[in-house]
Amino acid sequence: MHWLNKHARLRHKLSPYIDDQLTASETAALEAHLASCDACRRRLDELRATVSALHEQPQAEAPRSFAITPGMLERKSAAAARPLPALGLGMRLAGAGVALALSIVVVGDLTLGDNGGASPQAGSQPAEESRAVEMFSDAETSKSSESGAYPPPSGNADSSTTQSNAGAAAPCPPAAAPAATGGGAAGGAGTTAGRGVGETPAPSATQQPAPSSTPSPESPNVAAICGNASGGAAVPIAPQTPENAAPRATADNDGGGISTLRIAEIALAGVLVAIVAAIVLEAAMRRRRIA
Amino acid sequence: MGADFDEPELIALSRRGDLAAFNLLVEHYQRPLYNLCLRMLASPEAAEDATQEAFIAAYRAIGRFRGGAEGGGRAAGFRAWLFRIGANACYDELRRRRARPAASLDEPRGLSGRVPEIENPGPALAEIAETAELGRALQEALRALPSDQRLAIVLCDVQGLDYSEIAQVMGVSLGTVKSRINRGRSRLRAFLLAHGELLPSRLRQTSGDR
Repeated sequence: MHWLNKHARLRHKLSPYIDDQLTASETAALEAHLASCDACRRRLDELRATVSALHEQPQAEAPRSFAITPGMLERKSAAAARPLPALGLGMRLAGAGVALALSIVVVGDLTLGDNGGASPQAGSQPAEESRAVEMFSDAETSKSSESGAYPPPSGNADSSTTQSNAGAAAPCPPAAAPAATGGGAAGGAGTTAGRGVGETPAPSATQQPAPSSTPSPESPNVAAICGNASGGAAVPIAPQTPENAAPRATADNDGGGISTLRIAEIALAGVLVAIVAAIVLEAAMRRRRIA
Repeated sequence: MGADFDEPELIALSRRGDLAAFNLLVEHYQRPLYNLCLRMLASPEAAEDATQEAFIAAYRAIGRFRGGAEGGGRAAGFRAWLFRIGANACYDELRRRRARPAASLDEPRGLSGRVPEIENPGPALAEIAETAELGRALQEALRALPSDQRLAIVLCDVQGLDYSEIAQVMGVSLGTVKSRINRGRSRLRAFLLAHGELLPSRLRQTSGDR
């Protein structure tokens, strides 16, 4: 038993022994053992043969010059940024813009929701209002469910739409449809709260086309497609506002109702989710590239 | 390693952005670095990419390179630093392969298709054949090693670095280097013994010397 232990212990010294990495006393102890142990001597010879076989392996010639050209440095950095090139800063800015717009809309929505619940200022389109309330179900005022004037995607189950609104990327395509029709149909309610909020869709109208146009040619990922689809929701809204935000705000003042607000909200949420998804995807791809 | 090759000077120039000076370093080290990558990746194409990638990364990072303070240590320091970047490029590639295993199935035949030229055409034909066969077996055995052991073996037994320089390249202690080399060699030995009786025939030639 003692002999076996010593045997195993000394085996680990054979490799460093070959490379002269043992201390003088270690070397002496090992050599004393080798003198009396055929198995270890044989093992040493085999290890030496392995090492010398490795040593004798011919070195390959370099297949080409690896000299660096200035173009190589540029190309390399371009390649490093390739995954979603335009997404980097653009998407972040767009995401921030949409997030801002969304928060403004939500805030406006809450104040308007209180107003709308207490006094029917938006009364010119009661059906639309109740419809929108029901659709997002965050208010307790869902009473009438006559939805004849509304497109099929605006659905029925309150809880399900709320959930999808809150999280997944799923809401963006459905959101596009109601936003398109809703934006066109909402033409009645001019409210005081609506004026404050009326400015909020403007950033969305200017922001949305930016992110949706950037990712689509570069990266055919789900998020980009999704963002593109929901970005399309901005198009029906945008025609009301030819160029900039100023005419948009006035157009909204006499035109924007609650449903427009809610629809803008869900559209913005969709776009935001799409942008966040695109950024996360981009980060993941970049990390993999670096790693 | 000509007399005109002044490595510290070239490094100093490179640090100031002199690409031509850096390319002299590239020229000097491209063969060993390429061979390191070739042994690590067992694919000429992947080794080529990793080598180029490593040189570009080294050029970008050379401002952060701190050579050994002692005059002699500096040269070794740069090689270890460069090899470390090359080894990282190889690890990156190996990680990518693990991420998509289907692609790595294509890799193995890479090296066996292009056995490097034998430089000293002295020995008889049979021995050349044996060397080539041994080379393939060694490459296969190396590929079977965990990458840390493979790197240690390649640096030590193929590139001929000493333990302390290997420790620099791998960023580990001398003791770890020792044990990786030890374990790697033991595995290689076992592999060669098990495959094709390659070792015994080598043994006849080498048991006498050393």
